[in-house]
Amino acid sequence: MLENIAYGFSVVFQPTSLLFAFLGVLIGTMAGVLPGIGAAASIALLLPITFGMDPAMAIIMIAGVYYGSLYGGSTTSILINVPGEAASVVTALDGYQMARKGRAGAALGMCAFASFIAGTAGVVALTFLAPPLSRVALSFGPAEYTVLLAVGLLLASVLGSGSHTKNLMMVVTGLYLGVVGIDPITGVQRLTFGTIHLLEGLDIVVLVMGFFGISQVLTMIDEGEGKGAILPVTTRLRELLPNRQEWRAAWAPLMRGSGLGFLLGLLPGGGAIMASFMAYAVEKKISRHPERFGTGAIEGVASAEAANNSATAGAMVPLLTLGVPFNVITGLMLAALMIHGIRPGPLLVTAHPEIFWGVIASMYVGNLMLLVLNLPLIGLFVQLLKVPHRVMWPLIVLITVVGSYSVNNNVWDVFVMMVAGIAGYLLRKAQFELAPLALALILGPQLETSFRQALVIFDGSFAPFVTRPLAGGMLAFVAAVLMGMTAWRVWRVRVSRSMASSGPPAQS
Amino acid sequence: MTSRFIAALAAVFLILPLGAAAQAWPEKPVRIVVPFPAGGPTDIFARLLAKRVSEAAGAKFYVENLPGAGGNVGAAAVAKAQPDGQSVVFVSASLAISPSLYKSLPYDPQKDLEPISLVGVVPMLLVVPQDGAKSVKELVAAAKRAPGKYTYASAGNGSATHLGSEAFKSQVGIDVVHVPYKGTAPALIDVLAGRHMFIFDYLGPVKSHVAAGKLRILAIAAEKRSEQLPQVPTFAEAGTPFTASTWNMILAPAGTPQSVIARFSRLLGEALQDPQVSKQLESLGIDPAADASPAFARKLLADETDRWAKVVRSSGARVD
Repeated sequence: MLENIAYGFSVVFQPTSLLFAFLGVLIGTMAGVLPGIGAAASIALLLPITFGMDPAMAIIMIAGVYYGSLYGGSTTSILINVPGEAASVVTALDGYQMARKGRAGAALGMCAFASFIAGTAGVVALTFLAPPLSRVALSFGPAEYTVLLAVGLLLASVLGSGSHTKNLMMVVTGLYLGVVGIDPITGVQRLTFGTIHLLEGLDIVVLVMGFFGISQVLTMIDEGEGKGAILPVTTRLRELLPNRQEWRAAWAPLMRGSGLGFLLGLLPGGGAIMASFMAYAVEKKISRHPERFGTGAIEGVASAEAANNSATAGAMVPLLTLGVPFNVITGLMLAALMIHGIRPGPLLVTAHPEIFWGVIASMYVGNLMLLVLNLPLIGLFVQLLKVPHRVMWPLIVLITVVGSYSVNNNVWDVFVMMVAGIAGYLLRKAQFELAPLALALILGPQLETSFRQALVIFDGSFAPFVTRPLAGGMLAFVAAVLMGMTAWRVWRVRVSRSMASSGPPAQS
Repeated sequence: MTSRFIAALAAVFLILPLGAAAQAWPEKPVRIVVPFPAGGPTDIFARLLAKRVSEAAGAKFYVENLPGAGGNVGAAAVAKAQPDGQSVVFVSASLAISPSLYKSLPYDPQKDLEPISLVGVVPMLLVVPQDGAKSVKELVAAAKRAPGKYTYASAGNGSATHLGSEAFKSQVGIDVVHVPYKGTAPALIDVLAGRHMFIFDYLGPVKSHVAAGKLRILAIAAEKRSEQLPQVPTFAEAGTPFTASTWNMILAPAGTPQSVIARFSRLLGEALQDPQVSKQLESLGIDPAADASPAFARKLLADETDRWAKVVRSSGARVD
């Protein structure tokens, strides 16, 4: 094993490999910072350039763009509450609040560290556990996936801080928006209003850019330049990094986020977006102080960022071990390899070890490069807060428009984004939270597809959801946790009531 | 007299620019629209060809992805584009399937588009998991013994492989339940895990799994065996004659000058003959087209549209 990793490093520590790794993470970071323009669009543009390159170098660069974009995506989320990537939406929930309290540097620093730790942990898992993990990926069939997604959906309403009813309304709205398009099983058109543009449904990246990006611009314009817009800016290095107290709070959520993110990355259709939302929701649910989330809790930032970075490592497992891409970006990596005549699959590790181990080694190096790249830039990014609003917001709108167009090269997406932006703004004014909507939008279509696939495979029977070991196990686990938490709360209420009744006398 | 002379002169001047434009094509970069997401098999094929043709023509041919609606968004965009030879669309068999699958399309594939060349044919393969049937006869027999019990996977409702599976089913008379997936990747995962009886797929996605022994190819739905898979029998050899394949074709908006179409068709024909290109394509499971003429492409499109229309009707598949 160790000689394999050493071999991988020997591939990476050549000047050209290091250069391409650096180029990749740099482009990725920039793509991540720009709202809407993401790794997928950048990689699609880079594909022709990779034709003439050595395949190992090509994949090293593309992988760099992939996880680099997740480092960059959180920057705008924290500083101006506009997510750079769909996976950075949850980072904004607490990151922006931290920035408003003057802790922007700490939030950015925590993102960099969390991404690095989680990314590296993910690559370690990838290095040592790739073959057994591929078996995990295979063992998740429609029934298991349905249970997982249903549990995830239960967590969706947890994402919002305000009224529970309003959160549930947002979840349902998200589910409705996810219905638009062609029914995956029967091919019936739903809510497509006769236009071919809605046949594929509404694109999640476009909607997120609208709901969170454009709506933020509109909100800020509404609030005016004076109110709540100027954030305290510090330049002392110590203030720019998370302090000990913040580390203590963020440490465990970070590790949990890494683990959960990696597992979600392993699964089809999973990936960074789902991972960040779920990790945040899980942390909020199990936290002793859930009310802190949404007001600047660093645990939220740490867990979300850790999850989305380790999910990229997780997503590489099915690609490298099975040759099956589970999301758009690994699909592009597959294309880059196939153009060179290399077809990843179970035999990639023996047929092309330089690619397998080279890519893995490059992920270690790339994560380190990103940390080194991003930390000093924190001071610079924080200065961005000083940009006058009449310059910043139009620029953000411009970039977001270009970004949403770049998803499918389709002007229609820009219109969808605008409508979503206005709708998001109105919802925010009415005190509705958008994060539950986003998670429902992500999970809903996949949940429906898996659920119905499972029913077709098992001939309409609901039993397999409970009797199949993995599915039933997850259900049992979640049921136990929920019952345990309810029992805990009931017990605490009883305890505090009995203490109150025997406590100090009422004031007269 | 003078007015006739002036008219003749004007006519000469009017003809000249057209002639010049046709000879000068491709002057400006030519856009090859791929109506599928980047990184997919159609996209890879298009990019390989674009690169080769760019080198040969000394001009830039670039790929632009306009995914959506099973390839119709991109095809519609090119159908409505200027017929000046600057935009073409790189389609798969979905162009022949769409008219029967969708109630209404914003364009007519046979009227609004002008075929330039067929560029490749990709035969379908009958693929089973490791523990699945050992031969086509065994599979058919097992399915007949338990109608409605087994399931098969496909890359999506209305996809060529879904319809090919349905055509096969009705030809041999078996009843196997269809489970659609979004794309071939998740479908293959469940086939690898043994959850389905079979899947019809192309060589590209399954090649590495077959080499590793995790999947087996029972037959190829082509006229003769593939050089890439010499030990895989054709369906005819296996006892149940059946052919089905997808193909890739390049088309321009109707009204594009014939000289442009002829030149492009020649360029494509040369690119496909190039040994390096054909080797790359064959390793992806694609048979480079032997006949790259516009006439052949037009006939194929018409024949395939009719053929798939029959399959769609009898299978009841729709994108309603």
